Amino acid sequence: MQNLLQFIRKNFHIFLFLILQGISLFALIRFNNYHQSVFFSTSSTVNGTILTQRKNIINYFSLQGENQRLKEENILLRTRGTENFIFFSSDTIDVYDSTKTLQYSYLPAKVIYNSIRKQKNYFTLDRGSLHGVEKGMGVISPLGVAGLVVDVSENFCVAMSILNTDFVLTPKINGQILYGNVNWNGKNDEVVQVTKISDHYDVRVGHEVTTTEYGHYFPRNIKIGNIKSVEKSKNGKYWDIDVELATNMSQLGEVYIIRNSFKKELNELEEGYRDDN
Amino acid sequence: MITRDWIRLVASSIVVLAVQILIINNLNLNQYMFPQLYIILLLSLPINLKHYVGYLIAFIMGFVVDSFSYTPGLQSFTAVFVMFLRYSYFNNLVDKEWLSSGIRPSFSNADSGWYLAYVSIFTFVFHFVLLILENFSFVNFGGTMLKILYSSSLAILLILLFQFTFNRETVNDE
Repeated sequence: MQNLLQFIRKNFHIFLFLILQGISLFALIRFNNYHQSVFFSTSSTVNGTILTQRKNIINYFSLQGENQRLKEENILLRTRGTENFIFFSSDTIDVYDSTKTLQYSYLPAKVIYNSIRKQKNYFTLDRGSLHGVEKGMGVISPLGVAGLVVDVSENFCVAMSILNTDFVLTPKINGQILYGNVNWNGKNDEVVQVTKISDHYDVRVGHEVTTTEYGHYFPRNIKIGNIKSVEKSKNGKYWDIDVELATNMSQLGEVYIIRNSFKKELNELEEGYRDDN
Repeated sequence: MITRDWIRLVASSIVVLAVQILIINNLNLNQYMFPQLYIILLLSLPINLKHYVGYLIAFIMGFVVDSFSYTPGLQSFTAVFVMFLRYSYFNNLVDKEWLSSGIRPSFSNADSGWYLAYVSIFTFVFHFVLLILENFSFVNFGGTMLKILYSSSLAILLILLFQFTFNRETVNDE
């Protein structure tokens, strides 16, 4: 017993080394799966406050670019307003339309932390459960898709960036839903890939890639980007498609979190029928 | 380490970690450059510092950087591992008399050729372990190697710059 204690005391540093390495490895393997991101919720509250302060300062430097993007978005929205349309017929009747109800609503948020250089990138937003944010909500920038909320604390939330090798979406290419996957290969932060699209579809450079409602994260027709290059895959059955992202992920500033009012209902209904892809 | 050393360690840690977390982690130079400046803190700990203290310091620093970049365990693993290599080096390949002097390696109190090699090798090893571990596979190994090379070169440059800037203080203290 005495000897054992002496042995432990003498080699204490080696045991400590092994313990610390063990803790780190455990954390690395256990927590890097985003479903089990317990780590995020505890640390994001503390870090969020510090990162907000940093963002408050940094914001001034990007005001001009941010302004430009908002202007572009304004132009886009203005062209959608009714005042831009000419009504040739004057015999319209006002009806209270109870057949329609709002499904998607948008919550503006600011990015307070963002990374693009890792294989699995995340960004932090200054909105949390107090503002009604929940896991699984889509995040878009004024120009296109940006990510997906994976963790929420009271005042902040963490979103998986589209630049994350775990991020998967079903794309719509040139207005047609194709059963492929939008997925990043971890190389270039301006380009994501679309895989598993059968080569008999007509896919060309310049076609627009947009979202579908699958998964109930995004409304349909939110832009992801434009096709940059199309090549036959190695086995010749599929297209290898590179898509130039509409959103400049390195300059992510103002974003919108998308709330789908029927998501819970849809998910409950679909539970048990869905095959996880 | 006496109290003054501890105060200095904490103060310099706050500065360097702030630079790492708030500035360097947010610099988007390009896809291949991801320098870790904060390992200068580990490399300039006193060479005869007790082992368990060294490991704990490395772990805490790694943990802080991890928690700000959402990579739990990645930096802390690498930092503790590099600390282990550093101890192996100092305990086996350096003469005992110099080891017991307990200096903090820098340009002012070591041979500059030796110091350059010391910083370069450990920085390279750090980035090697870090980025291999981050990728967790050997797919696109060429790209990872390139990233390791670019990142560690930039980190070495930054560390030397840092040393040149703050070296004067240490000389005055001695």
